[in-house]
Amino acid sequence: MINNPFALDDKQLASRSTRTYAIVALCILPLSLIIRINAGLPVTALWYFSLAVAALTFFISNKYSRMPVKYSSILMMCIIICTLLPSSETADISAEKNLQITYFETYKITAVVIAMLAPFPHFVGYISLGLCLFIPPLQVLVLSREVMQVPRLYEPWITMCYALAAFLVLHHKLGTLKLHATLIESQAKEKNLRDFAEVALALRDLTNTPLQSLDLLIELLRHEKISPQQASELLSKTTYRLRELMQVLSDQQKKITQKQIRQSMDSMAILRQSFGINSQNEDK
Amino acid sequence: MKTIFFLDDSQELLEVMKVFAETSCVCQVILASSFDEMFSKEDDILKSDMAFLDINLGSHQPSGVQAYRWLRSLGYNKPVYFLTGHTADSEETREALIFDEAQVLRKPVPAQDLIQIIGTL
Repeated sequence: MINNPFALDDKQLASRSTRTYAIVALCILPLSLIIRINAGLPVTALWYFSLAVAALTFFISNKYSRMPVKYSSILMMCIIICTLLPSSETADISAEKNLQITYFETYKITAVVIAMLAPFPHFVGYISLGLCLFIPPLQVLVLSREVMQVPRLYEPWITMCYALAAFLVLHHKLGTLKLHATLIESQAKEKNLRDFAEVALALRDLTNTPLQSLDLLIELLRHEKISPQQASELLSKTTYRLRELMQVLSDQQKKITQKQIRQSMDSMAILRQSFGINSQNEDK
Repeated sequence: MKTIFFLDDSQELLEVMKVFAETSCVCQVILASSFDEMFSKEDDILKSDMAFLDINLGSHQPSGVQAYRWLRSLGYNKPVYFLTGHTADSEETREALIFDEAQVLRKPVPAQDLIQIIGTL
């Protein structure tokens, strides 16, 4: 199989998503620091820990661009949680002090970024938005009821609206990407079939001419209208053309597959399959 | 004795055709493997009684259809048969099929059919 240099495989896609989100996290966390400092809130160990995880994730995903998808997904989930938790912590401390700041800011930004980024694998995006959708209300209802007492904030409902809208955008975007991928795949298949038909036509032309010579030579030999020596010379010339064709095909096959096919194969079945011919239908 | 003109880019097929036509159909044969060769034998070709033209004469070469037009433009009014290894729906074959005065034969043409065609002369 020829590797397409323009196509990214699943590992590369997952690593790229993780790296991009790591960069976003490295931007979000300083913003959260500014909010804390402006509001006179302490910079906690959780914030430093999150920054360290973001930096480490960026380093790893940048160094290993083809990490296994499983590891990329785990890293991405870790970094998302690490960017969301300091925001929950800020909300908790701010609510206790009844501060008028934007609560769950990171959740909102993360929801928007995830919707735009549509990370790979896709379940990571859905889980992340699920976190943005459910953590704020759970936190408010279970741990920080004071948030609801802060006037004119309407939290956690605003954050939930962001997450919900982001969820719909992500779903729509993934659907569009899937349709686009299907379209590209079908176009590639169509092109392959067209190319194959052209090659088949050329092969047919190249093999039919020697076949014509062989047919006529058989007829001449059957009626003894040609000497064995003359027939042998003409047969040799005819088969030389066929051998030349086989050599070209063999060279091309080696270039394409880069290995010899070792196992036995049913040539007619391969041809039928390539042309999409159902043998049962043809028999009828 | 009847004379038949064969135009084909395959030298070995021309040689076999020559032996076949001379022995099985008892006729003279004029062979050409390219347009240049065909032009050089113009006088003999125009005197021939039948022509067999291969449609595909190689890449970047005029086709048998152009050879047909050339022959007709010189007043050649004898039967002409196109030979092709292509399918009926290939572009070149479709082009050849528009001529009512010529027939398209698909390679490999059975030897008996060739004898029959040549025998109609």
